[in-house]
Amino acid sequence: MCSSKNTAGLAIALLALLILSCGPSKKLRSIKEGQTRVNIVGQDAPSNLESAPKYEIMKDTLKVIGENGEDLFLMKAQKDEQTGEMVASEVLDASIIVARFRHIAERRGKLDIKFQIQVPEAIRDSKWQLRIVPKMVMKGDTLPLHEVLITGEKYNKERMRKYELYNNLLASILDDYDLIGRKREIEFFFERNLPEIYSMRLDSAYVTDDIYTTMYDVTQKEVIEHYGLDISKSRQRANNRRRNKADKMQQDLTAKYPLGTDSHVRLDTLVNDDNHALVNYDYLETIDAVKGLRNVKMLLTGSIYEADKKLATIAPSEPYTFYISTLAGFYQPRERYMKKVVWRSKAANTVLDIRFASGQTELDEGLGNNAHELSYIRQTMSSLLQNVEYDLDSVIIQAGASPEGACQLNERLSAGRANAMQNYVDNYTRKMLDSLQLAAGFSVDEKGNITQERVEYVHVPILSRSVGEDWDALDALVEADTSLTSAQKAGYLSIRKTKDPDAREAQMKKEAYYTHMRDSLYPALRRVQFEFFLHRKGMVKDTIQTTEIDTVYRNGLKALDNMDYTEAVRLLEPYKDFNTALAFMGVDRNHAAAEILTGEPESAEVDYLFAIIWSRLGDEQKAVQYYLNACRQDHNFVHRGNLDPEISTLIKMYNLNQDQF
Amino acid sequence: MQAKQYAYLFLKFIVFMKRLLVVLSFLLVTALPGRAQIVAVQTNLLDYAALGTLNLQAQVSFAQNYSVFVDGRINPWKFGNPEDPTQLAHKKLSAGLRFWPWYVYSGWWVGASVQWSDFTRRKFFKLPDVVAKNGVGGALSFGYSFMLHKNLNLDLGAGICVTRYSSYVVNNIPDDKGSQTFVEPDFLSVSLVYVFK
Repeated sequence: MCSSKNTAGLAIALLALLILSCGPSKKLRSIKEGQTRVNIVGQDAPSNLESAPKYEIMKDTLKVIGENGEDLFLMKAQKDEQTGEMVASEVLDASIIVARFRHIAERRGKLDIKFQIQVPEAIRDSKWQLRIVPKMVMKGDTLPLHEVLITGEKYNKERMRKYELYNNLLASILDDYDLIGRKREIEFFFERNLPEIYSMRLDSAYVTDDIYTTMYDVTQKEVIEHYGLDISKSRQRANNRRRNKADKMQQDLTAKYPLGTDSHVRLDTLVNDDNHALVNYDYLETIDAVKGLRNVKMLLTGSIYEADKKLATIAPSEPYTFYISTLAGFYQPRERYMKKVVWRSKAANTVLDIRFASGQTELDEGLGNNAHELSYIRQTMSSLLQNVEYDLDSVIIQAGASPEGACQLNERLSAGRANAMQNYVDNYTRKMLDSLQLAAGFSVDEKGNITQERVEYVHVPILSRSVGEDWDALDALVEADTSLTSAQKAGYLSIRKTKDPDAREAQMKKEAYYTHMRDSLYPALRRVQFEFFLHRKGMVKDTIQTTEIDTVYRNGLKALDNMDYTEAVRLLEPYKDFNTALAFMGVDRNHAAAEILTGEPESAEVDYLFAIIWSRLGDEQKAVQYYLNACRQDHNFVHRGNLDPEISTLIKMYNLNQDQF
Repeated sequence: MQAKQYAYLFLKFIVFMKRLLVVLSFLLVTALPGRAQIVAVQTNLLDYAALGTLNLQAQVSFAQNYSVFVDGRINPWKFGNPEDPTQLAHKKLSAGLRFWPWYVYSGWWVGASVQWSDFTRRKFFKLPDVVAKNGVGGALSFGYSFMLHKNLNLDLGAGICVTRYSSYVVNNIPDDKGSQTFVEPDFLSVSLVYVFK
């Protein structure tokens, strides 16, 4: 009845299912299982491992039947030097090792990471797109780089079809201008009535409404409004629907069908069906060098897409490591201290208000405030003579007189008074120095023994100067005086022009302000000025080194350590030492660096840096010379040379280190 | 027709045209000094189809929505037998105002005018012969103007008028009624307009 038909149908269905599922699944299975992958290799690796030299497997053991029918094994043998016995020697098959690492040097603060992506044919298919994402592992963080897309022809056709649909939809969307009903009319209207705007219609500059109107003050906006009234609502609605559909389609497309022009895609390459070779792509990624970054690992991950579905994930490739070397590691860590400029000589001054009896030059201690003033000057002198920091060189005493009275008399008086003052201070100083001399140099040690060192106290010259009638000081006092009006001050200045001082005084006596001057300002002129000239004890130079650390230098070294060479140069340039030279080399200022290094004491590091500089400047002979010098002084530079590209090229070219190995 | 008659007709035509030109030039003279007038002239093609009526119209706009116009039509021809010709001769002068709801020389318009006309109908399709003189009246019209070019419009219009003829003689029988007033279609026009710009 139905059973046989049913079973037959079922069998056919099962068979069909089996056949259909057979197709591409074998390829896909091998990808899913991780047997087929993309490879990451160094940039100058052999593109095809099959082209590497092959080694024949050599059979080196023969089995023969001996005289007595036993099995004899014949093989290669060598004489062991130590024991003297014959030992069988084995020949190992040579194997090809592909390096999974490379050294890169940081230059100018950046690292160029170069590797090659190899995509075998087994992983490609015309219907597929491979999206390969290189992943960079730095200090534990994984950073995905820009994708490389390998697109099959059929996939591309499908993708282009989808984009074409989208573009067609875009083209069908009407913009505001298209929706205006009577386009021809509006054009003729503009041409006739708004000729200025019409003539600029192809200009992309924006024209405001207000500038141009028709002859009867109709604005551009009104015209467009009038002619645009023809848009039917249904057309507008249909247009909006199309717009929304286009937006959605665009989002869909960017998500499902990435293009080579997308920002996250490095390359989109179309591989055609009859390309059976290995597809290679040289990838370069430049990153900023970071302090403490010793290595960077590169992995390739990816997925396979068919139409808009993800088919499989490609198993991650073996990592490829980049070991980073930097020149900044050569810096010499040291501290520098701030230099301060300290002046050797110093001056100080003070003013005493000493009263003298009218017409007298004798110093009367009992008069007025003299006792206080004199004790002050005695204290000052004593402290200066015993000062720990400074030595007193000399003292100048200056005495003046007020303009009262005859000029000549005043001069004699001021001279006499200055002298009196000088004698007083001189006497005091001598007595002081004598007593200090007596007490000096005594020291007592723990046992109670008194020892005396010879300490010299040099006599301090006290000089006197007499000013006579101190008109200059009076000028200054008048100027600064707040109770005199500017008219009075001007009057005073005009009187001042009189040559004879006595005549001046006579004129001033007639003035209204004379009383004020005589009572408030004149006493200040009768003062005595002291000027002390000192120098720092025991100081020969003007500058001294402090214990304050120079933070600029320290920050410069930090910048150098962080491979921020421009900042390091900015900070270290004034110091012009080894670290500055290193910073200069970091920014390729090679001549400046060489100039500094010539002044540095010879060492292996200096020679090595010179080698790099000369290599950069193109003088290979000097570069090799310096490099070999460096190697002779420090054997480590033999290996270091391979890390810096300037030296490693020379090593390869001239076979430099063969004798060292 | 004889040469004399041709000459006479031509003279009448000239006189008529002169009157028209006077009015036109008056309009133009007022137009020229100001910059706020757009002048247009047009001629009705349908009228030419209707037995070759010569016509000319001049318009001057003075605002966004208004223009004044002066129109002259003349059909002086006699057809057929010079002794017993067929005639649909008429003269009409009208002047009026047009209102354009949107903008002068673009789109719809309505017009009102005053007219003076004369017409003579002889031996035209079994209709009675009419000699009508001094028809004075007014007309209302409307139409639409398509812009074809910066300087060219195609104007479609229709008008209706009321005319009072001071003398209306049918079939040479003097009419004791004297004047007669008619309401009749004025024109149908398909005109080519030249806009001066």
